Amino acid sequence: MSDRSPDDRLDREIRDFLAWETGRTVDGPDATEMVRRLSGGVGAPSVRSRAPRLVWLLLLGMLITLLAGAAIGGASLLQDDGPSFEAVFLRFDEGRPSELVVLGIDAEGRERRIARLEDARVPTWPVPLGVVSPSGLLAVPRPLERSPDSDYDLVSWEIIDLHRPDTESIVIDSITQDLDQLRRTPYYEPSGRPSVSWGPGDRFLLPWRERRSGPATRYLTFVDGRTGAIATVDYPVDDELLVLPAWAPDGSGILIGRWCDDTGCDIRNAKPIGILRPDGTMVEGPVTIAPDSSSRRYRGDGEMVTVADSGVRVEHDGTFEPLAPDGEITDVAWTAEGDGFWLAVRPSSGEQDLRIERAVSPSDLQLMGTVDETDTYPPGSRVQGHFVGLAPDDSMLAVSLDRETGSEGNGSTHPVPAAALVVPATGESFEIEGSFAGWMEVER
Amino acid sequence: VTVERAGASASVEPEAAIAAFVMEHYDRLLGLARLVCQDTTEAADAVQTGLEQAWRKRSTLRDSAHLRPWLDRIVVREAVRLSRRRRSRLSRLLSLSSPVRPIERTDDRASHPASFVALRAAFTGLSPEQRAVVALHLHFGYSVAETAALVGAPAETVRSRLRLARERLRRELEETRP
Repeated sequence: MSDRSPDDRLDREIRDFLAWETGRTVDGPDATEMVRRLSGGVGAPSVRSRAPRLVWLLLLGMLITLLAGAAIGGASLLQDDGPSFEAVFLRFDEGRPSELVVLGIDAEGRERRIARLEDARVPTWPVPLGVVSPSGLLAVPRPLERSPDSDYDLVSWEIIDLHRPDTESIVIDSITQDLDQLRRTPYYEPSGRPSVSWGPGDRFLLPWRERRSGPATRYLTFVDGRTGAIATVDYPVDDELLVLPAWAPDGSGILIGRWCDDTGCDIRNAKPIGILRPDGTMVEGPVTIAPDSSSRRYRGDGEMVTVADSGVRVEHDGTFEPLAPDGEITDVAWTAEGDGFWLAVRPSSGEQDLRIERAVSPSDLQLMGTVDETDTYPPGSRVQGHFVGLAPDDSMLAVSLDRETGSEGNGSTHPVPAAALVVPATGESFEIEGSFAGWMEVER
Repeated sequence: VTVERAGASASVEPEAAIAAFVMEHYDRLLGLARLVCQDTTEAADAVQTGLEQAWRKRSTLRDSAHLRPWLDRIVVREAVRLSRRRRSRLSRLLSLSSPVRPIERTDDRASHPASFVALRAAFTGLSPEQRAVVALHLHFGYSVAETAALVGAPAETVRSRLRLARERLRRELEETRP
C-alpha cells in the first residue's frame, strides 16, 4: 500500500528506523542477568558503575568538611539550626490484608519504612486511621470484635512510638483499661471515622461515650500518650455532632465546636465554639464556625481558619474574611509563623489538575503548583481528595492524594518554597493506601 | 501485634515467577528504554527500576490488561528522568566517565540503509521527552492520548513534541538525500 502523504512516508521511515534500532544487538545485561538482579531483592545494584561518582562525592565531602572546619568565631558553617522533620504516611498492604505499613519521607524525598504492623485489622472506615505527634507517637484505632450493639464499634487506641517501633505499645482499651465504657461515636469527623488530636506534650483529646440504653452522654477527655494515663477531665458534650478539634500550637487549649442543635444542622443554627483547656474548663469562644467545615486549623490567638465547600474563612473576633479561589478547597495548612496558609484546591470545572495555592492574605492567593492528574492510574481515574501538610519548620510540604477508583493514593514531599511545584499523581511519589498522618521530628 | 523494625529483610519471591515475569517483558522494555536513553546502561537501569516497581506492586493491578502500558509508563518515565540527569552539567561533572556507548556490531552497520545514519543522528539530537513520544507513538503504536497518559503530559504537548521531532527528522533526511 502506498503512503498517502509526505508525513505518512516520513512516519514509515521513522518506524522502519525504530524497528531496526530496537532490533539491533548491543552489549549489555540480558534478561537472565536482570532476573538475577531482581531475585537478589529490591534495591539490587543498578547497571551503571557508581565508582567514579563516589570518588567525586568523596572529594566533595572532604571539601565540605574542610570548609566546615574553618569555623569563624567558633561557629560552624554546617551548624545544626534546628530539628528536622519527616512526613509520615500510612499504608495498608493489599497483598497482606492485615498489614499496616508506616512510611516516612524526608526532605530529600527518600522513602523509609518505619514500621510494619502485622495485626492491624483493616477497618471499615476510610483513612486517615490515626495521626502522629511531632515526637513520633502514632495513634492507631483498632476496632474490637466485642461490639455490644450494631450501631457502633468498640474501639481501642494503640499508641506506637515510631522512634522505637519494636517496643511494646500502649493500648487505650475500652475493655481492659480505665475507660471500660469508652465507645467510638460517629461524630468526630463528618464521615464518622474516629480520630484523635495530638497536642503539645504528647497529649491527645479523646472523645468517648457512655454505654447506656437510650440517649448517651458524650465526653471529651485528655490522655497522656506516653503513659496512657487518663486525665480526670471529662467535659460533657451533649450535642449530636462535633466538628474537628484543633489544638493551639502552644497547648493552651483545643478548639472544639458543635454545629447541630434541636433544630437541626444548619449554618444559621451554628452554636458558638469554645476553647477547651487541659484543666477541663471551657472558654466559650467569640467565634462561630460554619457547619460545613471539613477541616480547620487553630492558630492559638483567637484566629482560626475553616475550610468549607463554600470557601475558606479566616475567622477573627467573630468576623469572616472569605477566600474565594475558583474551586473546592480540600485542605489547608497554616505556616509556622501564622502569616499565611497553603491550600489544596480542586478547580470547579474545566481544568484537570488540582492546584496548590498559598494565601498570604484573603485577597492574595498565589498559585504555587499543580497536581498532575494526567498520569493517574488506572487510566481515566481522577484524584478525589488531597491533603496538604506543612512541616512545623515550614521547610517541606507533604501532599497526599486519594484516587476515586479505590483506596489507592500517593504521597510525596516537596521543598518549600516551591516556585514551580508539580506534584505527580504517580511517578516519583510513592503509592499509598492510607494517608498523610503528620510530621515526626527526626535526627539530622 | 507484631511490629517489625524498619529495614528488615524483604520476603523472598520465588525465582521462577520473577524469571517468567522478566522474560515476558524485558526485550520490549529494553528497546523502549534504549530509544529514550540512547545509552544501554541507563536503559538497563530504567528497565530494572520498572520491573522492580511492577513486581513489588503487582498485587495492586486490578486488570491484567493494563500491565503492559503500566510497565511502559514506569520505564519510559524512568528513562526520561535518567536522560535528563545525564544531560545536566552537575551530573556530567560528577561522572568521570563519558556515557557508555554500545558497541555496534559490524554486520549491523553493514546492513542498514544510509538514511538510518541520518535518522540516528537526528534522533539522538532530540530531547528525551521527544524521543519518548516518538517511540511510544510511532513504534509501540500508542495513540496520542495514550502516549500523553504514559508520559504524563497533556495531549497537546505530545502533539507538539511529535511535530517538532518530525520536523527535525525530516530536515536531516532531506539534507542527506541527493
